[in-house]
Amino acid sequence: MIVKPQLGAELISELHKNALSTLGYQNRIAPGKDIEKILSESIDWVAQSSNARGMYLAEKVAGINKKEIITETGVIRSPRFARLAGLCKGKRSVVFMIATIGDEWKRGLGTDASVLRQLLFDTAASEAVELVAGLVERQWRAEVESKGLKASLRFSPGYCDWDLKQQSVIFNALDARNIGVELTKYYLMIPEKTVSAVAVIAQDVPAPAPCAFCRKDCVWRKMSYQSKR
Amino acid sequence: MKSEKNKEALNLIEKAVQDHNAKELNQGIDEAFLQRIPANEIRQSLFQGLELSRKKLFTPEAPLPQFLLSLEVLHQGLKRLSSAEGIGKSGGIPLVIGVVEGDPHDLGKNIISRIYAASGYEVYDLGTQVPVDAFISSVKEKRAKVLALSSMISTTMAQMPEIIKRVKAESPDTVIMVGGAPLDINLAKSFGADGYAESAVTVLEETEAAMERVSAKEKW
Repeated sequence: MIVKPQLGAELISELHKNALSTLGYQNRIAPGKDIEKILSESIDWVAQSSNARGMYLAEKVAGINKKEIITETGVIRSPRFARLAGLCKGKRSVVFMIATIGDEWKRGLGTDASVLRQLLFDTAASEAVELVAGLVERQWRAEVESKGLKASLRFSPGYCDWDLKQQSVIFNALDARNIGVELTKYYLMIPEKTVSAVAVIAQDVPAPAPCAFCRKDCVWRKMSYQSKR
Repeated sequence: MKSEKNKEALNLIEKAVQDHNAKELNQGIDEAFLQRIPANEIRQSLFQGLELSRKKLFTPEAPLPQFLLSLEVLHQGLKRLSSAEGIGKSGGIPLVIGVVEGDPHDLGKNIISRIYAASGYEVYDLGTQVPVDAFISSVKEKRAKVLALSSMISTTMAQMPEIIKRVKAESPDTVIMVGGAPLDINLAKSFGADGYAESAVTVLEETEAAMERVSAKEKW
């Protein structure tokens, strides 16, 4: 399924809030008018110039062992994600997804952009693709829920124990050229502002993320220690 | 009386960079020129202002964009100083910087490059997706004292040990710094690098420490 999500007005304010938070402006620190001006310009430009597209596909799980999940088009080699899938109840499938905003946002930088401008535009674009990925996810999740099923959180190559080289599993499942995305020989997605992920779908998903089996206090942690007890 | 005025002008310059206030910087530099303060003293105040701003990065009160504003104001000051002196950029410690082949992420490298340039290094920025041979020829040609390598993904980072090995073979005294999202100090050591900088906050201290270690032939 190919989708073209829109970064509408209500998402612009979310984009602004997320960008400020990522840049380190929490409640008690204000960015000041110079930074606000460039940030607003970058958000407006990124929202207008984005060529937001996404695609997803669900495949049945053919097998699960301690180290991997076997699907029709490939093998997901992540012991932690395999453990998550193993705990799920009922028939299981894996949804593969890719979302991108394209490369047009870079034109807004102009020539000889200061590093501050580069940082603010890059942050706006990174937050924008996360929102687009969220919109794509919302669409497949609605389909999943309409069937009375549940899904885990998104899990991407490079997370946890899943090797970045396994991007190829997602690109085997999806013909990403249809949305203008390619994978380089270094397993880097082009355009840069692209997100790829998988999730497990089942009748019951007891652990939403592999963080449930991990005590590492990393910045990417999606669940608190509290919630997994 | 004169020294009091000199001090005031230099303090104004330092504070203007720290507070990223371009208007006050120009006032300070105008006054410094009027008092015929030597260029090296003005430059020192500019750098001192940046250093104070950079030190704030160690606290949660100053996010990175605030520091980058100071960096921009400092560059305006250096530009005015250079045109007044009638010279181009001043020399410094030759440093080659670049992102390894296959990796197009340039933002982190650009920030570090600007910090080095603003701190007395003569920076030769090779850009992104730099082939191994280009690093080696540039280090030799520029007689680089420091080579700074960046990689933002684990698959391209894998080229670093080869680059380090070949640079060390051709230019053993060049200090090699590495940085980027997938790296940590242990990986940097295992790659044979001389130093590792986690971020813009520590890059200058880590580079200086690595230079001292290499110069003293101390083990990292």
